[in-house]
Parts: sequence; C-alpha cells; structure tokens
Amino acid sequence: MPLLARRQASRLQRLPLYQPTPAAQPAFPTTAPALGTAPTIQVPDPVRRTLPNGLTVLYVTQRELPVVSATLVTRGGTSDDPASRPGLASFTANMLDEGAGGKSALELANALDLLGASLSTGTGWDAAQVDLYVLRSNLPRALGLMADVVVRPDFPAKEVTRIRDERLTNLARAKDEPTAIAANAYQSLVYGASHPYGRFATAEATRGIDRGQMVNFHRSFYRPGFATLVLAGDVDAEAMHPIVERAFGGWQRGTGGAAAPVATPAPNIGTTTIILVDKPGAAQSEIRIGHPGVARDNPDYFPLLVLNTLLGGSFTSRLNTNLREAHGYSYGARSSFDMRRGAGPFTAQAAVVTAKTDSAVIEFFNELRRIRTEPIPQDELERAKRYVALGLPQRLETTSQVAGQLANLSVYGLDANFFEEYVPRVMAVTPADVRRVANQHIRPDRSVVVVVGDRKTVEAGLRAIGLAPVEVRDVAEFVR
Amino acid sequence: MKRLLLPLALLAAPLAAQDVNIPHTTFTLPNGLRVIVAEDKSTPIAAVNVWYHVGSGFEQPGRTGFAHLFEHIMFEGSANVPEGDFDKLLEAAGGNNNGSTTQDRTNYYAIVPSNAVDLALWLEADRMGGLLQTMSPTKLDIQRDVVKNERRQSYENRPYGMLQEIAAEALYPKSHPYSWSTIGSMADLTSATLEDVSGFFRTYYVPNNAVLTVAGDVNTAQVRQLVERYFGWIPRGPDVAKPRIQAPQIPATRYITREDRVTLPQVNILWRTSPRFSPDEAAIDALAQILAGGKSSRLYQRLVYTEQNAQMVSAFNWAKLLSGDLFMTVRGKQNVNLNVLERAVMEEIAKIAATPPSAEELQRVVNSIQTEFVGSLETVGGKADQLNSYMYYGGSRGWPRRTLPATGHSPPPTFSGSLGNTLPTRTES
Repeated sequence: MPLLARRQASRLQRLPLYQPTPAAQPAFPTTAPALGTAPTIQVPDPVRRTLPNGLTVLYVTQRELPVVSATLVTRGGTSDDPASRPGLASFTANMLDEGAGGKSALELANALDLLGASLSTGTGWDAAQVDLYVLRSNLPRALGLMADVVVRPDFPAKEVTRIRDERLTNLARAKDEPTAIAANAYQSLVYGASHPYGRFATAEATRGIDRGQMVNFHRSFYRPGFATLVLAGDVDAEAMHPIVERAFGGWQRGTGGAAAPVATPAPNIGTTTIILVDKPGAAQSEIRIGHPGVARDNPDYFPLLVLNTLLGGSFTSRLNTNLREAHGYSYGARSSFDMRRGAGPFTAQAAVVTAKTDSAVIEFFNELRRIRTEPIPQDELERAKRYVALGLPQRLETTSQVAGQLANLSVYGLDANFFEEYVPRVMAVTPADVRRVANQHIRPDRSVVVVVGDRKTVEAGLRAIGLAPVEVRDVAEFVR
Repeated sequence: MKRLLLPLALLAAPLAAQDVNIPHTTFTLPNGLRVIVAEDKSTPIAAVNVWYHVGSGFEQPGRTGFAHLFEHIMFEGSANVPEGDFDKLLEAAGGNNNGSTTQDRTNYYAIVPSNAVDLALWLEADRMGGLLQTMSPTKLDIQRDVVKNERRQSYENRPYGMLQEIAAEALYPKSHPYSWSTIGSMADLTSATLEDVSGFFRTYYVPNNAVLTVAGDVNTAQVRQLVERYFGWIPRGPDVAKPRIQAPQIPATRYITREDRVTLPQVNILWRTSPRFSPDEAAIDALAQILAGGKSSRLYQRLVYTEQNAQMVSAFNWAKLLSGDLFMTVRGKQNVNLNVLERAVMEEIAKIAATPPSAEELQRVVNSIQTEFVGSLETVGGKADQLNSYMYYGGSRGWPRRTLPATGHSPPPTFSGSLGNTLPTRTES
C-alpha cells in the first residue's frame, strides 16, 4: 500500500499554552512528565522437549489471540554453500515447498491456503529456516504440511528447472536494484571470493546446480540433530507434543557427511579504498562503509549493541542525526554489526542525494572517527542503553517475534537465559566499554567504501576529498 | 510467558466477523477530540496512536506532497519540546515512534513501555497544541530535503518505483485529489512555505479533526484523566470538510507506456473500485486474492507456474475514502510480450465473471484473509491502528465492522458489476 513513513527562527504566532477549562484541570505541564517505574519485563520461558530423533522442540504459550507461529531452523545456511556453488543453500530452501511428501507444488499451496496458513522457506548465513503462521484450530494439519516440506521435499525435476529459471531471472533483474548491487559489491570487496561471506550467487553457479546436489545438501544439513522447532502462541506443550511427534517423528537422524561448522577467519583490510560502481543517471548514491566485524559469540556483544545503537542503530543515532536531520542528505542513515558464526561485517550505510555524495562520505568518516576519539556523553549513552533494554518487550510482542528470536538463539547455542540477563547486561555497559569496543571494532582507516551511483556526477568529488584512492568498477562484476 | 487474556473469543474456524472483537471505550472531549482506549495487558507496553483526518487527498494542486512533508515537521519539536527531543525522550523511555501519510489520513504513533504512556500523550498534546510556536524556516528546509530524498529512494531510484504516480494520474482526472502521489512532485515540495505550514496546521491539526487511540497495558480511567489534562485545553478549530469530489467514470480502456531502465517488462492493469466499506469491498478483495494472491491463485498457476512467462503476479485492492484502486501487476520474464500477459489476465477475469469460483476456492481466500486480519491484531500498534481505521472509515459504527468476506459457500455477488464501469490502464516498463 502506498503509505509513506517518515522516517529555526521566525516565529509565526504565539498560541495559548494553556486555556483554563471549566473543570479546573491542572495546567498543561511545560516539562515532560517523569517516567514512573518501568514495568517488569516478562521474557519467554519455553518448555523444552527433545524427540527421540534429536529434534529440539520449544513451546511458548501466548494466548492473546488464537494463532500460532512455528519456526524451524536447521543447518544449511548460506555459509554451508560449497565454494564452487554459491546459492546452493538458498536454492535448496527455495525448493522445499515446491513438492514434498508426494504432494505437488500446487497441491501444497492449495492445502496451505485452505487452512489459511502461510508458510515460507529461506536461508540466513548460519541456518535454513521454515516459518509457519496459522490459526490454532488448523495447526495440526498445517504442521503436517510443514513437516513434509522440511523432512520430505521431493525436488521434482521439472520444478527444479522452473525455479532455476526464476532464480536466473531474479539475478538478471538484480542489476536494476542499486541496493542489490551495493550488497554484492560490499560483501565481495570486504571478504574476497576465497571467504564464504564474500561469495554471491551468479548465473553461472545457478546453472550448475542440479537436483542431485540439492538432495545431497538436504540430506547433509537438514537433520533433526541440527534443528530446533519453536512453537509460540495459543499452544501448550502437553497437548501439542504428541502432534509434533507425529509430524516430525519420522525425520531420520542421518549419518556422515556434514562437518561441524567452522568460522573462516576474516581477511585483514590494510587501507581504505573507495570503490565506485557506475549507475548512470541514478538519483541517489548507495553508500556502504566498513570491514569485517565480530562473531555472534564475541564477549563484547552487549557493549557492541550499545555502541551501534548510538552510532547508527536508532533514529537519534549519530549517523542519522548527522546525515538526515542536520544535513538533509538522506532519508536515513544507519549502521550494523552483522554477527554470524564467524565475523560478519560492520557496515555504515545510507542512500544519499547524488549531488552530495562526497559530502556524505566525509560526514560518515567524521562520525566513525569521532566515536573512537571523543568521550561519549553520559546522557547519550544512557539513552542508547535504555532504548535497547526497555525496548525488549516490543521485540517479543508477537508470536512470530518470539518464535523467530528463540530459533535464532538456538542457532548460536544460546537459549532463553539470554533474555533473563539482557536488561542488566545492557544497563551495565560503561562509557569506557563503548570507547574500548569502538576503538577495537570500528576502523575507518582500514575500510571498504562502496558507492553505487552516477559516476559522471560523483567521481570528481570523491577524488577531491582526498580520503582514499578511488577505483571505478563495473556493475557486471558484482551482478552476473 | 504472558499473563493470560482472551480479548478475542473464537468459537470455531473459520472465523465469523462477530468473533473478532477488541474491547474498548470511546469518549469525546469538549473540544471535539475523540478518544479510544483498548486495554490489553498481555505485554507491558502500549500504543499511543493519533489519526488526523487529512492526507494528500486534501491538498491543492501546486502543493502536492504537503500533507506528508507536514508529517515530517511534526517530529521537529513544539512549544515545550526542543528540536530533537521528541525522539530523544521516547528513545530514553524505551519507545519507538513513527508516522505515515496516505491520501486520506496522517497517523502518528509511539509504542512505549506502559510507564511511558504519560510521556507519549504529553508529547502528542504538545505538538497538537503548540507546533507553530517553534516553527522555523530551517526545520522546513531540512525536512524538505529529507522528503526529497525519500522520493528519490522510494520512487525514482527504485525499479518500477514511479508506478504509483503514473497510476494516480491515469485513474483520476487532474481535478481529483487522488490524481497525484502522496509523496508529491519535486517542484511542489520546493514551493512549500512556512505560511503553508501554519495554514495547514490551523485548518487540519485541530482536536476535532483527530482521533486518539491508546491500546495496551493501560488503565482506561487513568488514560482519560491524562488525556483531559493534556489535550483538553487545546482550542477546537473550524469543522473540516472531507473531500466529496466524485471522479467521472472512466470512459474507455487506455494504454500508457513508460520506458524505464529495467530488465523485466511489467504490465499493470488498474481499475477504479468502490470506497472503503462499500458493500462490494470484500468481494473485490476476494477477487484480487483469487486471481493473484499467492501460489494457489489462478494467475500464478497459469502465468508463473504453467506457462512460465511471468516472474510474479500480484493484485491488491486499496479502498479509500472516495474510491478504491485495484492494481493487478504481472512482471514478465525477459522479452515476453506484454500483450500476451494482459490477454491472460483479461481471460481469467472473463472466466470468473461467467462462472463463480468454487466453494473450496472461495474458502481458501477467505481463510487466508482472515488469518492475515487476525495477525494484524497481534501488536498493540496494529490494534490501535485498526481501531482508528474503523473509526475513520466506518464512521459512528466504528469497530467491529470488518467486512470479512462472506464465510458461506455462496459466491460473492458483484464481481462483474464492480469491474464493469472501470478501465484497465496499462503501463509498460
């Protein structure tokens, strides 16, 4: 739906601040009301069961509405792609609901819709994931279909051919999308083709993926011992567990093949370089700045969370305040630490008006340097901590949020205890912690800068700022 | 994990419209501000959600995009809130906030821990009562630049991003306020003045043109007390007239071709349909879903699955105050002739006009729509927005009046009628 989300001196007229009402209301206060005591935060307390085949099942009861979200994660994420077959994990996940358990692709689709159920499949870096959302009354039948999709995908040959063609078409159109070009360019320049995080799917690799490879990939990585199923919503463990057992009990343990996941060490970036990818006539430049960051198991997880919040993880963050609210260069600027099993990237990013591309890059670097060198004001730090800590209930409000978050924790060997200690650990972060992790994990002088934009307008300016050498590269190098 | 509460009684699946309920209280202040409070203690958070009954459909030619630009300015401080503090105060309380603009309305919301409802109401009242006291040319200029960047990011620099604007111009005559896009033109954004800001505020941002909804972990009596104190003093404004303009019927099918630097050709077939809560709205929603909603839809199965000459199909009926727009989009594979795709769409429409969908086919779309609707009530924010939507579009009947498609097995009655007097407009990319 076309719905736009938003996100000093000439006084026009004094309006009355306060007009007494007959009811003799107390005056409208001219200062913000004090916050009362923050409510007690309730965090998910899942019931944990294990099936004889090794599948971990978590149940979280949320009875507000008669709906259930089920999320299953297993190995088989993008990091498990063979070096020569980038895209295999994603293609495999894509195929799961294109024929399974003897039901054709269309039979599955029709059956799910008749139950009013939505089911989706996909991959992250560290896991493959299947999500189901359905009214409670239809859960048992929908769960049976979900199990077919996860455990018994048929990979019908004609559907493999059809989906391959769809994926090739998507790759062909990716070059229309500045964000897709920027994403591929950034990851390949930060990590290089020899690192799993630097590879991306190409037409050539996609044409080389066949049914047999997907069957093998599924056999290797989709295993109950590698998987966790979370059900959140109008369910209780006692009533549901037999139904889950019936659906997923036939999933074979599997043997051999899959090596334990290893995190490939990230490359070292020596000096900062600006890579300009020409997109003639672009109204904006897509900017990505950064380098390898940290893994999910980094002991500084909480200081990094707070650091990123005040740098580029909230509306009032430094990057957004600078590039959007102070300069009007962008609709929004942000940063992130993408924490994976290995060290995923730290990225600062924005889409900026073409004419201000060089100025925007300067402001990015000003902020990346300032956060390392200047003390963090206490009120700014407190705001970031409170935003992160007190915002937790909003991130655990819906059944799909709860299922998704618990499933994600399980991928990294964590459980609901994470939420128990979340608030105190966020609130314990000190200014010194933030300075320390900023110095350690933000490296403006050893970064990759990717600019996808109109070369003829932006190149001279990018060279003139003298920040780093500028290399011009072709879109076809990154989307192919 | 959560305290048990059942605001929604479900007797059996599929749902019937009367089974979906959100208990709530409404009252009106002497200045005309209408207030809805819905207690829901399942999570210790609450939504404070205001709908001002103004959107781009209230704009004048030459000032397109102004309602949305104004939305941005609302976050830049007010009488007692220095610039920047609106967001800082809410973030420091653990809250999130945003706003959005459509043709018909502009909404503002904060989702906060329950102890910060007081703060969120105060911030909302301060800008409703005192936005202009701290207005400045700089605030306008910066947000003008931000909005221009929003236009570049979401429209100009995005493949097929200009479709909305082309569709608005194609579906409505120039004199109709739905004939321009909500983001507005660059030239009109440049033209907006401080006088426009004050005039718009005094005309539309009056308590009698707003509905405030608070949903979540709150006490209704306490909310009422706070609302009376914070909003009660704000003077009522002149009554605001909703646009009543009728667009003439579209006389004949028109084809519009737009070249763009994109790899895949796309055909968009657009119709004008009925306003929100018209008797046939649910049937048109169901029609859109039957034709192109997901993998069990007719056009997906024909064009994407069987003939494999389309990359995706979609259909969406967007019913508004004055009329609805039905968008059907088919994105072809490379080098596919769009005439072939258009013909397929028309054939499928002719089929369904001649022969009603089967009971099972109808049941599929009804069940999917119902699950999606119930899902929209999972958050306090979604609940508040739905209540506000029903108040606005449903009038005094308000909630609950969801026109869930009929759950019986009789086919929706008005497929051909609702499409008969409207026109396909084709854009090629």
